[in-house]
Amino acid sequence: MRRSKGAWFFTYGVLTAWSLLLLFPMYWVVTTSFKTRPAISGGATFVPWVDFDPSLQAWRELFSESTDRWLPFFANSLIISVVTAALASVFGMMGGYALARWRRLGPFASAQFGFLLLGQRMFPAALLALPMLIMFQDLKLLDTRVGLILLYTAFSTPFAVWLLTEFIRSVPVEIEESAMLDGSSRLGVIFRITLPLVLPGLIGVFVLVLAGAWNEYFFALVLTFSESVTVPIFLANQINQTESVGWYFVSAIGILSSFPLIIAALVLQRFIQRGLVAGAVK
Amino acid sequence: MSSRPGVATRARPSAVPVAPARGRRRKRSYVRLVLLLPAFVSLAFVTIYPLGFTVYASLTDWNLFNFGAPVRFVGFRNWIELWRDQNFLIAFKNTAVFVLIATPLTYLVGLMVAVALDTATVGKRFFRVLFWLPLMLSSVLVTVVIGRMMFDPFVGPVDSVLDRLGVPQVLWLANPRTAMMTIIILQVWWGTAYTIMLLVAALESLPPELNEAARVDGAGEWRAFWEITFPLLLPVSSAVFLIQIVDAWKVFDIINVLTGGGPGTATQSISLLVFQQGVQGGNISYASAMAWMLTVTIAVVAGTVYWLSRRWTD
Repeated sequence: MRRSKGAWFFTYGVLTAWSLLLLFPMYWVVTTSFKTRPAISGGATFVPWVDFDPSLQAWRELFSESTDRWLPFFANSLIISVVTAALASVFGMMGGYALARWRRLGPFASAQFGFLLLGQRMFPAALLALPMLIMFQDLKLLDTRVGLILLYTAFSTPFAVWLLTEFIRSVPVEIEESAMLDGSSRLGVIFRITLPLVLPGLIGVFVLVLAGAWNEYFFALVLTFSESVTVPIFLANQINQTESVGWYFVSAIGILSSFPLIIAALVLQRFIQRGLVAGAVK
Repeated sequence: MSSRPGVATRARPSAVPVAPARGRRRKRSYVRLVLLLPAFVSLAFVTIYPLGFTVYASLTDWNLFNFGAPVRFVGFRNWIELWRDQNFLIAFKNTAVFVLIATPLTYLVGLMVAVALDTATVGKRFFRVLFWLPLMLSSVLVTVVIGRMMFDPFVGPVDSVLDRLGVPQVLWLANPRTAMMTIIILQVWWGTAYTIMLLVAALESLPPELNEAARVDGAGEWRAFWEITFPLLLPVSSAVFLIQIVDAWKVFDIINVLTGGGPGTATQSISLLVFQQGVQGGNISYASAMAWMLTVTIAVVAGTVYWLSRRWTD
């Protein structure tokens, strides 16, 4: 199809502008992590070797002198988000299988139930955080990793169930039935036939839940204060100090905290996008 | 599924014809229940319990820091008190302004980028991958890096570039107007990725013949878009709008990290006020009423948008 010049300019004008808006902050963080304190506080510097001399100071500091300043928080976030993602994936498979394979659940149609699962997204975290604070206090879960894992899993499970229901429904039930006629148990069929077929969906759910738990801020802020503080809280605390902020350190921490997810996102983008699109529109 | 009562009865003595079938059915519903148990427990834990709790709390005078004082039932006093409370009214107004500006802006930018992406021929894959990356970044990271570091009047590049263009220094976070602007910019930067992704998915599912047919009829690209493509995007657009509106009303992360509601009360949002009064101030009862007011507002606005979009698309 032949396109007019104006349309071509619109397309690439918009694409270039938006790319620059996205890329420039990323460029800025990366270069800042290679600046020294004087190169930052003397005003903005843009180009390495021209404006400022790149230095490995931040990275050296990060990995040699001050690992205990940030490593515990990364460990907390890693444990919490991986366990949460694993639990939500398993629970999501279980519930999704039930909703996909049985039309009715007591008085409800499965579809109605699926809708109910998503209703919780409407409620603001501010509303849910107050009772959680009281409950965590009573159960001695405040400032524990177990507490955050339970909470994040409970928040992610309905989403995982709902998303995986769609994927499992797309696997024809006849495949399972014919395998069962050959003498396999239902559980065996699920593991050897259904699971591999919905693996793309499962990977998507796993990464989305992982990213959600890794990036979550509100509940971590309310429910943790020292032992189980996560990366977002740590990062936010860096700039609320009264002394001047060590921007090169903040930048390096920021890169370190987002790098794994960006790589995962690049490698697994198809799986994740399918999950995100299905999660919103259907 | 495969259990048919008739098949079972034929093989059994006639005295207990239904028993095996019923036993099987009971076993199946038990499996179903076990499979769905985590989902049920989750829902109870994150929805039913907190909702019930906050409704109850909002009708009392419960304060965490009134140690030992009995919790008294006060009816709807907190709910009425809200509308006389300057703090709440200001937070409500700020949040409404934020939603009214940020949501349409996010949608418009998202639509423009999505259409550009859909019509691109060269480099499509690269742009696609780049444009959805912000979704993987945490709101805190985006706020710290862009909002605090890049908009910093002394070390940030934004003011440095403006200065070279002859614009006098802007103290972004110290001025009420520019502070709100910065928050809106962050929301748009971060939230547009999701909008782009959903709209691109919708655009790609449209049959390509549609546009070609319009062009055969002699319609220009501009007209073809508004008269053919845009109406077909309406269902997805309304879903995108709903998601963005609901999210924008809840705004907390960006504001708490960037300004803490300041300068003064210029960027105070409802969620932030709930956090300050309920979590930091211990006033659980009043904060519950405020949070419920926010929830009711979200429900009313989302319901209205949904109703309007249904009327519009039909």
